[in-house]
Amino acid sequence: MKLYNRRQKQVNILELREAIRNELIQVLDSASSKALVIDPDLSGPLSVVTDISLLREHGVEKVYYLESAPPDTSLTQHLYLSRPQVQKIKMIAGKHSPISPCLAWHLRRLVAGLLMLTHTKIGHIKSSSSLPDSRSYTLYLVPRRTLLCERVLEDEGVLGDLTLGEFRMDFVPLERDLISLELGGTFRNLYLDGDFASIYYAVRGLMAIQGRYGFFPRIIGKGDYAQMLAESLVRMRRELGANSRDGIAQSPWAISTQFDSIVILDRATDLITPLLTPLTYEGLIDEVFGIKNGCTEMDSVSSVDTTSAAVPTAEAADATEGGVQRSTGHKRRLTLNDTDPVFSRVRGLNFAVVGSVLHKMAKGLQDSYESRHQAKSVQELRRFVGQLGDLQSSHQSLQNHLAMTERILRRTQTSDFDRMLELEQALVSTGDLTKHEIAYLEQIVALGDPAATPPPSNGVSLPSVGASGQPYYQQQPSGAVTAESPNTLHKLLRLLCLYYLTSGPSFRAKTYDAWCNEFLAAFGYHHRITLARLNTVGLFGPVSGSKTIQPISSGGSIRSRQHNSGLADSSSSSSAAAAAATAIAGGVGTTQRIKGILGLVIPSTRPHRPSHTNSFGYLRKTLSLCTDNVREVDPDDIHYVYSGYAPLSVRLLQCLVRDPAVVGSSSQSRRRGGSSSIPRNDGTKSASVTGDGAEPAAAEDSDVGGVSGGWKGWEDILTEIPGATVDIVQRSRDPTSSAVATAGSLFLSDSGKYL
Amino acid sequence: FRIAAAPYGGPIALLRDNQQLLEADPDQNIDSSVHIYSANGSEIGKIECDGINIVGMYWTNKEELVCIQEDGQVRIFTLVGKSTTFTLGDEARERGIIDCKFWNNGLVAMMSNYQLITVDNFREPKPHNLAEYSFDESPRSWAIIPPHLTLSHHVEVLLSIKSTILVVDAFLNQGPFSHIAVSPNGRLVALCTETGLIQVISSNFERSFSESTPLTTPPDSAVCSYCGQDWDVSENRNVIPIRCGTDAVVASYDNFAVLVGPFGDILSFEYDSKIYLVQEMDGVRVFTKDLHDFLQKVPESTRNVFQIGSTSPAALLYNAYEYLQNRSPKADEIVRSIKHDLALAVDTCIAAAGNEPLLEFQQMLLRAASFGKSFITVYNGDKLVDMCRHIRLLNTLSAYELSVPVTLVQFQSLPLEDWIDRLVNRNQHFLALKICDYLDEARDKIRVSSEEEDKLYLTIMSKLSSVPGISFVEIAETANAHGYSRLAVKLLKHEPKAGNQVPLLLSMNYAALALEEAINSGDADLVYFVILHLYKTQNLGDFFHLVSNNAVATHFFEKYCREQGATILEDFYFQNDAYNKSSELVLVENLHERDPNKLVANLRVVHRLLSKNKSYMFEASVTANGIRLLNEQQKLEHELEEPFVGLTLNQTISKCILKGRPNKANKLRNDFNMSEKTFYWIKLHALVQRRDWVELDKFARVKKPPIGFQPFVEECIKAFQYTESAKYIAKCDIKLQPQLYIRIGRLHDAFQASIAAKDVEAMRAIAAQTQDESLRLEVQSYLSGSRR
Repeated sequence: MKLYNRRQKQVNILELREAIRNELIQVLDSASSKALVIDPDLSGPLSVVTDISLLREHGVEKVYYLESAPPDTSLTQHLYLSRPQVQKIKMIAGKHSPISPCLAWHLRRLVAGLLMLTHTKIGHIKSSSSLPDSRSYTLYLVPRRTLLCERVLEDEGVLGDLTLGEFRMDFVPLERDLISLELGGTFRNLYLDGDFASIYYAVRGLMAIQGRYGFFPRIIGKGDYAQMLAESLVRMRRELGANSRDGIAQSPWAISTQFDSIVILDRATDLITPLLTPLTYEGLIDEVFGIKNGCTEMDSVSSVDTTSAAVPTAEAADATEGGVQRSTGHKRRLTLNDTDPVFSRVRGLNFAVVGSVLHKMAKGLQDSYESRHQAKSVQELRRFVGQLGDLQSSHQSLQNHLAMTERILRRTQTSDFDRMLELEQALVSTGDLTKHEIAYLEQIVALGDPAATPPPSNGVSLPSVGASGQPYYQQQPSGAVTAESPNTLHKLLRLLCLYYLTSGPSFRAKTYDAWCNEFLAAFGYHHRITLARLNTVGLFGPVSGSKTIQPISSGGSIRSRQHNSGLADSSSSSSAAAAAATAIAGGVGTTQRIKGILGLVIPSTRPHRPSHTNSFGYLRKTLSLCTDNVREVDPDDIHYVYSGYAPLSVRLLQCLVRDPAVVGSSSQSRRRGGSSSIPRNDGTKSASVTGDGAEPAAAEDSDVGGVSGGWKGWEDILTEIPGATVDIVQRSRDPTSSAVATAGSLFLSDSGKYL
Repeated sequence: FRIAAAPYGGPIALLRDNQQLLEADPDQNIDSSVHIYSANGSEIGKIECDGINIVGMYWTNKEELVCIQEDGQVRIFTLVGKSTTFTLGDEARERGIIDCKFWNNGLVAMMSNYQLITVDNFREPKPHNLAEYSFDESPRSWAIIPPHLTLSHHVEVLLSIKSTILVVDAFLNQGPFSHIAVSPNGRLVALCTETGLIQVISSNFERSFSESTPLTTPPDSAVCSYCGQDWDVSENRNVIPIRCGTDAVVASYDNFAVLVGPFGDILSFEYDSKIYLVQEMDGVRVFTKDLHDFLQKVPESTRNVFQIGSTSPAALLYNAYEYLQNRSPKADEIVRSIKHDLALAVDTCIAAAGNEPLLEFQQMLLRAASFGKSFITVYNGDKLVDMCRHIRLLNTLSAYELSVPVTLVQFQSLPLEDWIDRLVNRNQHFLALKICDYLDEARDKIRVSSEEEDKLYLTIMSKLSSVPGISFVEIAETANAHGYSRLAVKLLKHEPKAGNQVPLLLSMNYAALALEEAINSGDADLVYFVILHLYKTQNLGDFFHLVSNNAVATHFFEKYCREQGATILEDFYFQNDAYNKSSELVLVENLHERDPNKLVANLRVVHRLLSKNKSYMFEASVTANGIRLLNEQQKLEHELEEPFVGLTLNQTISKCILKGRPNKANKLRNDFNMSEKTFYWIKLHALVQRRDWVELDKFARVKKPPIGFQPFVEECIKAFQYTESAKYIAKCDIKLQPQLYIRIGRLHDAFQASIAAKDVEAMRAIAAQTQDESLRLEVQSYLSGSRR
């Protein structure tokens, strides 16, 4: 999630870190000296908000990662932090791995110890020191204690033996303007498994934010799950009002003055963008090294070894580098955010210009160092020394980034990379491939290497990953940055999905079948599950462009949602617009009872009722998604991030704020006539969103226009984009809250009667 | 009798103590039930517990009675008589509980072998044993320090054994102690020895505060209170301020209550009969057979006003008011003498009123305050108004009928909602509280009504629509309990919290509706809750039917099963004829299977499943191919003695070529109908890998390769075979040749090719790269020539 805020002074989202930290401290303080066992998935987000010294301060003696073997420690108190996932819970409970399950192992010891004591009355001197009943287990689930996990623990028979709690870490603020749930596999969970837990977490997190900054005056969005999120927000607010008996629904829960709206964009609205290779510096870092929790990992070899193409063995590196760094195998974490002056300068730039900028910065740094020779007076010298710390840190940072740039260059200069890009560009700009390009695709399939290691973020065995229908792997193993990247399943699927998504009706059933056969022959017949799942989530399928797309086999296939479509903001829209919006997707009604959309339709990543056979073609034209003349150096439009393609999600935001870049170039500009606003550059960041799943973007705009116009005027575009359209206005005072106040006063006045 | 009294002036539970001797009386049944009385002595409830030995009783802050039985069962009763039960475990049942101590939310029970079991939270009872210790003798007495007051955040137990006190690992060498009492804030401990010595120490045993010996016999019980400087015995409505120390201990000796101050000073009160002491947060409640007293420190404000000879402004103001009532002019004079401290005086009077139990004095004090107030130009009257309200409430609460005698401090230390809940618990809705009033009406309506459900619904809605924040669940529950399930459902629709609706709907057996509501709530966990509940309670067929009728539920159930590794999913798919999904299940299960025979067998199962439905043609044919491939691979393994099983088709063909079996490869290609291009790519790649240049040459000559010659070039270059690659460059498209030649460094050939292709760019590149002076001249002359 991205938060845009023009008035940084007012909203500093990093404040949330403090809240999370306090919560964590509370969790930690629930036991005195203890061993902390954390879910590896949580270590990243946790490291954003805390560090080891804080843990130590609060009685953590040792930290372990959650794995199948129990931590070997003599500490008696064990504190677990884990995501509420069944597998992990089982691991904790101990039945997951038959080798040496953690808790069960301890528990068995416990039982054995007791038996010994009570029945045979022997050996209790020996065992008294290691008597296991002094051990205590506490499990905190992040971000929520779920009934499901309780159930699993109960089934495993350990629920009674541990203390269960929840540690509310919803949104982790990664940057001043960026917060994230840091949940993996969200898209898969939502669109493949139909598990919308992540939406619920997002709602909870947003409610916390609303509690801090007030209610978002307007909720606007696109996508089926975006609608669900929006409705849940409204619902939660009602629940809040209902729970407070004496006017809690007042002060902090007023309408926010700092935010004018929240924009929720479902990932399903823009499946294409993440499939492409991003060409900004940050995007390429993610592509080559992978960015996780605002950090990347690279081998701690500096630019020295660039001559040797292959990854040198640890000994060799040690020999050549001497004591410069530790061993090569050691990975170094590098935090990537705006606090790094070098990175914040170049992160959003097209990679083509990054090199020169970095060199210029290096030159500037050099000059600053040199300035000490010019320093004549004592004051000048002192000033120089004062700057030294800064200089050194930027020096270090610059070195890192130069090293990274060189690694990326090694990748981008391969012909393979060029051909990939060529293919991608062709697809997004024309939606079709030339014979030459198809030949390349065929080559990838034919020489597909099913054994090639998938990117490190998906360290699961290949079939299950492939079968997961998650093609958003923009990372490559950092160790394997060789000249030619292997023809992995992911590389191919990325291209095939892109082909399917962009090409519209020209992608026929016959084409699909042919590709499927080739694909299965190359990667194994069991991957028909992969194909089926890709089809389910709408990334790759047999037919396209036809209007008869049905939602995935669903019991309740009733699709008429008109009945709950009293358009939300009746105040601002004209009746005609309201009618139009109703026809599109059924606006969200703030009717008597808010109906979850899930009761009626299974969310789909395909447009509900497109009026064009080639939706993407239409969007490309109307929103000018593609251009030939890109200005990579001094960009005037978001096109530059993909060297010619403007991400659809960014365009949608621009539509909302009536950015002239869209309004002007659009064929229907006159009709829309939005208020003028300053050209914005924040698309830079949005483009680097590498999310999987419905990634809501909260936009705050203090511009004159803001999103005040809502979706008005863009109806024809919205028809072509998957999912429901959301536009809800939150009023400052619910009838509920005012009535609550009345009740409160009633209560007091009436009590006098009985004196 | 055993006695337990709820904090905050709550009810009292009585149980005959079966450890005490009773005069044998054949006529009289031995009454073994728990009686519950309100503070005024009227019986408000009775719990029958024949044949069960109750070891301990306790009232929680929510006014629930916790009874622990000898066999380790713990029962929790609310005032309306609902009960919940949990057990302390098998060991407790075997050994039997002999004693029990409580704190607000938990308990520590002692078993007959003196081991301790603790439960941290009644809502979520998780009994676990405390540290083991071994001693044969029964501890003389014990006490606990609740977890939120200890440093370790765990409950600490003080045990008096022989001559020491045992806590975690602190020891004290005096004793034995017959009684231990812990102060409400957990910081102080009072100890009574057999000889009657009362000692006050800090709970970490670091400091001793006082010692005294009021009587030489050990007291019956001791209650420690940490109150302030003065004690006030409000008995017979007489105010007797008594000076004593910072922290006082009250001990009971049959008919005496003895108050021991921190410096050992003693004060005793005599009662008519045996007394019981109950600790409150700001004082001590004393019960006798026919009395119910409250011992409390004298609050500062009261002392200020009423202390004899007090010249504090408040006392003066109060005096002045008395004069005013007597129409004495002195009143004005006195008030003027206070002048600057008038505001303070008013405040003190208001505070004193709050602490005053007697109506007349309350009125006097308030009036005095109001009188003083009128002399102050700027005074915020809110305080006075608030106090009036509070006093009204307090008086209502402690009125005889309701009889919840509380002090202001107690009242303020609980949120208002809790008090409302308490009233609701007593079914005293109509009393004082409008919100509860509404609630009550709806409930009573339902109780007495014989009206038609719809009409009733309208009546209730019209009444309630103006009152927000009402829990419809409670009303619906009442409705349901009286058999109006349809009405209950209707009412539930108005409940905004799905978390409240769903469980009730489930308990009313509206499974489908509950599922729908859970899904609509957007709370995934709630959906799981419903599904798992139904899974447990319904028969499998119905359950499957219910789930499969709801797409979302299906998804959730599938996911749950997958993650749990539950085999039930197979049955589920089977019942729904979801052959494709069943087949996927089999497939996924066997992803790591390496035994070819088993694999084939499994694939056959898959194939059979898929052929049941025509729409799975594609899947079925894919599976058929998979089986064929496996068979071929098995044959290959026999022939070549190389592992083949598990490879893909492409890999298999490639391996055949690598191992020098091109015919096998051809056969496979034909059998599986592989496209020519793909085959060329695989063969090319494999041959290069084999470095079989002769075969490669032959392969290129068979016919014009469908993928062109460029891949041949590229593959050779990758293998660093420049001479080989040159062969194929010559066959490439003329336009490509110059660049390819440049790449392998054959600049002369590149030049020739570029002439043929008229490629000026290439020529420039050649000129720039070449080391051969003559070539460069030649190129340059050609370039300048062509320019001309």
